[in-house]
Amino acid sequence: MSGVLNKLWTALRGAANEAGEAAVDANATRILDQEIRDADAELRDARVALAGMMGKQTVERNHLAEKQAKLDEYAGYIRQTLAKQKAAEAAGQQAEVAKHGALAQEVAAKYAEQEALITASNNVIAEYGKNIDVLKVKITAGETAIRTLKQRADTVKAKQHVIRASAAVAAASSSTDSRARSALDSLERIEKRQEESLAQMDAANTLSAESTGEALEERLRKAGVIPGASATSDVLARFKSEGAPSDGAPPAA
Amino acid sequence: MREVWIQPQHAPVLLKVERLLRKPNAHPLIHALKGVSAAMSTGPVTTQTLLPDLQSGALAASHRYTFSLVEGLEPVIQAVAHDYGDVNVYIAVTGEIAIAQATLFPVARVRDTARLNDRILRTEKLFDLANISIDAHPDGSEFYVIYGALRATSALSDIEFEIDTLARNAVDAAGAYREFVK
Repeated sequence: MSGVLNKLWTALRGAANEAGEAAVDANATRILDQEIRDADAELRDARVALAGMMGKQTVERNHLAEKQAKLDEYAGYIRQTLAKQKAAEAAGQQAEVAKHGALAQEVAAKYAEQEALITASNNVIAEYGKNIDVLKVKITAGETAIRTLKQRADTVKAKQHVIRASAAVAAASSSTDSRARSALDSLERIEKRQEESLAQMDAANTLSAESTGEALEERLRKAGVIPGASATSDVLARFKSEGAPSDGAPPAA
Repeated sequence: MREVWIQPQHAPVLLKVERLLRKPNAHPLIHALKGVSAAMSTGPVTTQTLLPDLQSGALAASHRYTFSLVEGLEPVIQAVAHDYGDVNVYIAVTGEIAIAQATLFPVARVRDTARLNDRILRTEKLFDLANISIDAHPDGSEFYVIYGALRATSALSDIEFEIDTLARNAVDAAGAYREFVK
């Protein structure tokens, strides 16, 4: 897996300039696709090897069964020969005893030979088994590697499709067109909207204040036209101008 | 002879199917499989199959998003996020991967890319479900983009969540890195 990235970095270093770095996507796609093809081929080879190995193991198992049958056959002969030897001994037939003894020897030798063959056969089957296990691990690892490679290739390709589409949309629309909006454009638009809505709120407050007449009255009061808190000094001045304190009734205007 | 790709645990089932298919008359099996394929989804997810799902989904129904197809050699879905200043999010499906991506700003407008890249590497983790990369348009002009990847077979609600998160992250990222842009 790290081989892919190494190849990619090598391709990039080889370019060693900005134009080369811009070509990273094209390189990534090419290298990933090649890597997937290689891994697929390797996986296919491993599967063929596994099938071959399992076939050979089956053949060897069949041979083992044949050898085992032969061994059982020899065991039967040995038992029969020994029984006949025993019978000859009981009957006192010395020549028969010697003949069966020799036969038993001969079959026992064959039996030992067959036993050795069976041991060898078992070893071969176990050896195939080891190879089969190794190949199965290799195949599982290969399948995982291919899945990862395909996901990487899919990601790079999907990004290329997306960037091509956004470039096409940008090319087909004006800079103010909402159809080709980058995040920065959108952020500025959001902020402009917020400013506008703040300004709108201020304007709305002013309008509503004016429409209830508050603004006019407030201005008149400040100008002293309408009596209010600002006219306190006028009141005091009027009382002072009377010269003498009265019974508390307001002075005649 | 043909190679068949299956999950290892389904091997016994495949063996039975294989035996049935070796017979000249496999009609009962074919009949049964028709029911199975009808029950399963209508094939793999593609950009084209995703569009109607999004257009009838929750994001479109709330009028917060408008989805349309950008025609081309490889069609791509364009989502306009009305809540986020109409930022454009593009969605493409390739094989097993679905990508949602938004353009942040052109590389050409960045004053000091080294400093910006440093800032991005330190702050990108704040933008959940998103990565930031530099991508080149076919004309060679380069852009900082923000994107999220997920399995194409993800539930529609997960894809919608990814799109909505990405639109918000795109605008937030543009704000976070604006000081580097002239």
